[in-house]
Amino acid sequence: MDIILSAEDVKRIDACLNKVLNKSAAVSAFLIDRSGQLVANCGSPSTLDVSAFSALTAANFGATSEIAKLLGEQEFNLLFHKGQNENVYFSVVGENMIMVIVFDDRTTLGLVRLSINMIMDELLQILSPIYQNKG
Amino acid sequence: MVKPSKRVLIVDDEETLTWSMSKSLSKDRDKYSIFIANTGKEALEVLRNHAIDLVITDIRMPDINGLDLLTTVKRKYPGTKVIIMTAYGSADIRKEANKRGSLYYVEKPFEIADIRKLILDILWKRKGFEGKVFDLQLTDVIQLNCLCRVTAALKVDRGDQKGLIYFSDGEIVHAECNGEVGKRALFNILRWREGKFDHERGMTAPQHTISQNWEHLLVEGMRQSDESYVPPGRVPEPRSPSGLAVVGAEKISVESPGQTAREEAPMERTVQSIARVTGCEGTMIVSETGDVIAHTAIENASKEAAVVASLGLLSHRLSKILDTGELESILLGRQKRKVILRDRPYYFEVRLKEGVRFDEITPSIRKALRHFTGKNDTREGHDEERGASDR
Repeated sequence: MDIILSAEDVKRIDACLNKVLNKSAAVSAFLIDRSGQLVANCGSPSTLDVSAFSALTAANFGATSEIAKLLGEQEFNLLFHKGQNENVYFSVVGENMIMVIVFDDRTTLGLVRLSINMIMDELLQILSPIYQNKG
Repeated sequence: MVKPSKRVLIVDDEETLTWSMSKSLSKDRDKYSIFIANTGKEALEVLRNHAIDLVITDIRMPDINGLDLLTTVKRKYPGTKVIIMTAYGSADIRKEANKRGSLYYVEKPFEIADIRKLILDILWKRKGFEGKVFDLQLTDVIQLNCLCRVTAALKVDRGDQKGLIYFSDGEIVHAECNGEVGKRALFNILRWREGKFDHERGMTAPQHTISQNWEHLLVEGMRQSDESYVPPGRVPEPRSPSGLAVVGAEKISVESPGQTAREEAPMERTVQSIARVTGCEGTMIVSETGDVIAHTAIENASKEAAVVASLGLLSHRLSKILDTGELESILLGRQKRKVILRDRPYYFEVRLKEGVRFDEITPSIRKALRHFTGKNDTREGHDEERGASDR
């Protein structure tokens, strides 16, 4: 599904991602839609292969949804990768988006989740009208 | 005065020494009687006529060497303990004395007070029961020694082969078997399924070749024993051309011929030991190709295994792109959560009970896994440190 974001929307979304990074001391934040397209990012290295990353994130979420179905549960609301140097936390934003936060030892999963919860309403307020206009 | 029931024999060709020793030790005459011999032959004569409990002998003597006397005593009077003393000690002599069954090895000059204490320790500090036991596993005997923190040598006799395991304060410090020493010897002995054992209480090891914790050694020994054991008459599992062998209800991925027997027991045991971790509800080992290796309490295991392997692969690629370092684990869920631990070439999926925190349980799961992987996992502290809260 194609969506149209105004410059103002992008600015507000970037501000939300920045808030998450500032409050949690995480390394980078991304907003990706379910079809695998990057919507916004903050703090990411310029060398990152954005299209591969976005597609893999969406596929990753697809796989967890399958496990949830096998367990007879709704979609999982928690997906967390623990890496040797850095960790990745994935959070569902509404029905159409996934937020990805990369963080290291300087912060904790708990603080990352708390920071996301703090901006979640604001982010949904920005995104909901965009998808409603599409529908 | 009641005659003491214990008897100690001192053997040395230096008459002044035997005299002064007997004089000093006579302070304990209410506890044991002292006999003196100044030659090996005299010593054997005394041993013939009296039930001696402890012999303290020099090595260099004109007629019979102290080490040969030790051998004779051990052969003819196995219940008699022997302490070797010498002014010309060396590591080789010490080793030889221990090998022949000496309880202690004392170098001259020594403090007589130390000898007095040693004698009392050997003759009187025995508390508890004595008797024969049957149908014990060797690992039971070893555990008993370790838990009771004994210093002793455990002689294990399989008939055609003999082995020695030395304990010092409850730790396994040395083992000998078929010309091998250390862990190899210990694991070799642990493979034996039956035999006889005998304790030499207080016997110290001639050398320290093992430094690992006894629990780790036993687990590793049992793992090796299980892996090498093929029950009499058992025919190896048939293998299909695709390289899959059927064991029980589950498939086992076979990477090379002969690997089935090696993989089966540890896998099953690992699943069981993870399942016993408090807070775990079910567990499954999945191969990189999505096959179920083993599982407990997982419905739709094969379907779930396929998804776990896909998720693992995608997550691995993602960690490469993001350069987060090697993927260690994945946590996912809603009310009920599951952890997927990566330990190449397997994924270990663990379902957590409701309300159980990921950071609290991961170190215990890794500990259970360590027995399987044989790795000293240093990531435990990491999980604890990082996990302020996962909720």
